[in-house]
Amino acid sequence: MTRGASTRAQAAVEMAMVVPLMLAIIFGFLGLLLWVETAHDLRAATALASATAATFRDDTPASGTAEADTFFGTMRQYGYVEVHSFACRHAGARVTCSSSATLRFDRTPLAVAWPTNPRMSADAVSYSSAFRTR
Amino acid sequence: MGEDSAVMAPEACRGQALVEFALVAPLFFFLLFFAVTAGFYALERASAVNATTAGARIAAGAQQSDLNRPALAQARGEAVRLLRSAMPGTRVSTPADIGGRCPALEQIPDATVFVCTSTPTADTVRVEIVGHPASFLSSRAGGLSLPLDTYAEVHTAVFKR
Repeated sequence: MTRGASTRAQAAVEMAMVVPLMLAIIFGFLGLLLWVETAHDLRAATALASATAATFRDDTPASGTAEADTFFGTMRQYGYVEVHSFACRHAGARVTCSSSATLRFDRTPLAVAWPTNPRMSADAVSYSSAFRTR
Repeated sequence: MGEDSAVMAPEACRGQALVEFALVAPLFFFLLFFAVTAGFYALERASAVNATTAGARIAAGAQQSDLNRPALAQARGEAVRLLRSAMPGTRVSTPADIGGRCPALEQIPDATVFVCTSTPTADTVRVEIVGHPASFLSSRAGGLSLPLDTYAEVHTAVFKR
């Protein structure tokens, strides 16, 4: 083999090794950002639901409807998030809402770098006021 | 230098390094710009989610003047205030500024974001942020558009009379 052919072959091999690595880094970085953003979105929706729940005195059906309207109404926009559970619990004036969800990378092009779908959860606490409950 | 020598001449080494640098440098800068752009976009999106959430909490309450109606104008005002501090260089507007409905994403010019409110059902209100935030690395003209389109929906806490 001549030196020129050898150099070209080496360059091709290097390129074949580096390009997939670069793509994996790009998609991996984007996936990480989406993961952080989704965790933030889940926390925000849970906090908003707990703020809604705090306007009720107790675990009433009306409270359950309002909490669910708020949480699922906000999370509905994220097609790549699968919600597993959501519940709020009243204990006196304290309301604790919890939720869990899976970020479905397999519903996005980022699945090439993220073979698993991470699960995440969020909690939020609100306190109701005797002057602002129904 | 012999024909079968494995050692390159210094001139050839410098030439090869130059060619490799010319190949790698654009890729390197692309990755750098990509990372910076993605980071900025994540920050802007997080700010938008915060603004919609803060707006939704205000919208869920009643107006001072009419206890039967959600406080949509106040919600828009708060979301606009939060976005203006988080997105320098971006024009933050409300549909009232253009006389009515929330425009579609495609109709919104670069570096402009709209804060819209609506009532999807009788008992829920929605605060939505839609538009194209200012970015020195992305623009629709350049073929790289990173739009914002997010909302928060909340059940109202309006005390019906």
